[in-house]
Amino acid sequence: MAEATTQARGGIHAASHPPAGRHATEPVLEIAGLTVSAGPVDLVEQVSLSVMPGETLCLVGESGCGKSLTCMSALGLLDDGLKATGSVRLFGTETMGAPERVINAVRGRDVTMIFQNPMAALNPVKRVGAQIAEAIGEHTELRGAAVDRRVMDLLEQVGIPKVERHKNYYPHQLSGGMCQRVMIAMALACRPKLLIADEPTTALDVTIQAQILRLLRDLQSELGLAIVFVTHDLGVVAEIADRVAVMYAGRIVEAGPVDDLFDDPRHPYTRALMDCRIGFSREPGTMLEAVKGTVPAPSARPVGCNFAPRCPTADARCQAEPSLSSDGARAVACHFFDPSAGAVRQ
Amino acid sequence: MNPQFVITKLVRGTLTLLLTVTFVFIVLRASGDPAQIMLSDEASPAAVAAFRERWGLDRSYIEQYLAYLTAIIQGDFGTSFRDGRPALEVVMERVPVTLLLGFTALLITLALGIPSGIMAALFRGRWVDHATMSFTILGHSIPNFFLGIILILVFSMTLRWLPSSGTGSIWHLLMPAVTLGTAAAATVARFTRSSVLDVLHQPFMRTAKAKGIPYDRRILRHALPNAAIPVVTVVGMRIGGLIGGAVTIETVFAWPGVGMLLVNSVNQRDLAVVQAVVLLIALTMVLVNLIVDLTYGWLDPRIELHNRRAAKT
Repeated sequence: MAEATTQARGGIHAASHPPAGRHATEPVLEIAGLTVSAGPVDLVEQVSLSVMPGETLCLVGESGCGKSLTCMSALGLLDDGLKATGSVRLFGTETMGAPERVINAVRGRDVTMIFQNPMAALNPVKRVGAQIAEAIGEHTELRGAAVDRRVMDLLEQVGIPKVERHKNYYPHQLSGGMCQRVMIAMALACRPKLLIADEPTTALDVTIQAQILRLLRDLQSELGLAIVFVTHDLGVVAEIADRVAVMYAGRIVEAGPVDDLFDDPRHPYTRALMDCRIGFSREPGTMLEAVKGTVPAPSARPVGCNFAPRCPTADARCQAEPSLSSDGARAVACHFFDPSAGAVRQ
Repeated sequence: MNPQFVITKLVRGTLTLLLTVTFVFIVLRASGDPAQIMLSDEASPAAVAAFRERWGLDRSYIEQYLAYLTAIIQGDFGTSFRDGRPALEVVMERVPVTLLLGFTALLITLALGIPSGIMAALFRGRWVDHATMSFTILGHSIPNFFLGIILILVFSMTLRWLPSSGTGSIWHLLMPAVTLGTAAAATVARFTRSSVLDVLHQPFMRTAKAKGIPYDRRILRHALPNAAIPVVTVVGMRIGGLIGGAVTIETVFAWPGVGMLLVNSVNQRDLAVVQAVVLLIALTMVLVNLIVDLTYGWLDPRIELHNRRAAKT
């Protein structure tokens, strides 16, 4: 297992291509061998990934595959009943198992998070402006009127009109899209270097989704922040990702640059996902593909490759757990993938 | 606070009071003839007739009811059969003693119930939680009068530390207030605990954590203000019950308050006094509910907005 982990880390490291002009040596987030368990059941198994400054990593997969848990672990936000092991390094500092003040030094300042349901993520009895101000007061030297000015600047930056009035609103007086903008403003309050976005557009209308995505992209190029973007929407991935990590049943099955992954998916699960897309290339009138079967529950995962029961190419080898192996740009966890040949053998 | 909201609540409260008056009127008239009970069996028919005429009991129920309503609106609650003084006066002179007991008990309730409920929630599953919950089960299951009698046995009869009945000093107040206060503290502790637990699992608590807010401030600024909303309801109900809620305890400790007056007046069919007491209890309930509703609007902005929207349409 240790070997697999090392390989996995190596694989994704090598696969990272920060966009030109934003080179930095150290990853802002580095997760290694992360396992999240609820009692005897492992929900996330041996996940390793790293995010370089300024890049966008998309974490893709079906519901329940462990995307959110991976993100929560990165910020130490797991619920009480869950236990995480492995390593999480934020800006080079190990936070796994460290006291809360260690992670609080960066949490909310250098690394922030936005969530799936923005309405529920905001405190219902506090004005939105005050909630943003709280983050500023916690992590900066600004006080009083300076905080207020910063709050209004932030709200303007995320495209909220009439900030003078809206900052005094309570969350329930704003729409879901507006609340997510407030969440983003709050996340950006202390000029973070990494933003973790856990399905930030899933609960929103499609038009609002597009607005929020555009906003995140603009802010990213403006502020040079790295983004971990969790989604199950491949359209969103194509739009914003630099790199993609595909998760299935608690593990990363494939990772690589977004264009490579879309052009030439190598893991059978990734390929199946790509086949499910609706696009212009699809012949009108043809049936939409669906990945056959369902994701196994964490307690009922098979021995060996988790995808084997649904995999069209599975054979006897799949009884053993495949390790995530890399050919330099791509990492794939499949026995049929040959890193030296650079393609999945048929 | 918007006026429409307050007015709606006031109108509803008045309706509640009217229903109470009517209900009490019907029940008391249906439960026996006061002339028969006040006068002895040997009273001459003439004396009974005179008594009935004197108190308006010879008129039809409708007439009696209307006369009673009119009188109440004018602030006249009738005259006590027993000592001929205005019923309201008889009741009001008992109110301060009852309030003294009630508010002392309430202080004990709040001081015990809220902190222990919060601690139980924050240390869920640990010994603080188990201890608190065990005590709340005790507090719930021991009847009030029984706890009162036990306290009297221990502190008055055996140890001879505290007076068993009456009023006059802080020592007289201690046992009835503790008896009343601890039982209610159990309810408040349970409500507080479940309310805080519920809030701790809300997504906005995770947001606060993600913002890097330290634990104690997450609890103080984010969890408790939200958890307070349901707790206000229970505490409000306790306050509403202060005037009439101490009936058994006042009887056990011979505490000369409204509760004891009510029991005595019911026994003696002192209609005017019973009506005045019941109305007073209803009035406090209605007023406290109004205050609780207004407090909601202050604690929870969602409620106020809802009403403001309703007012606009």
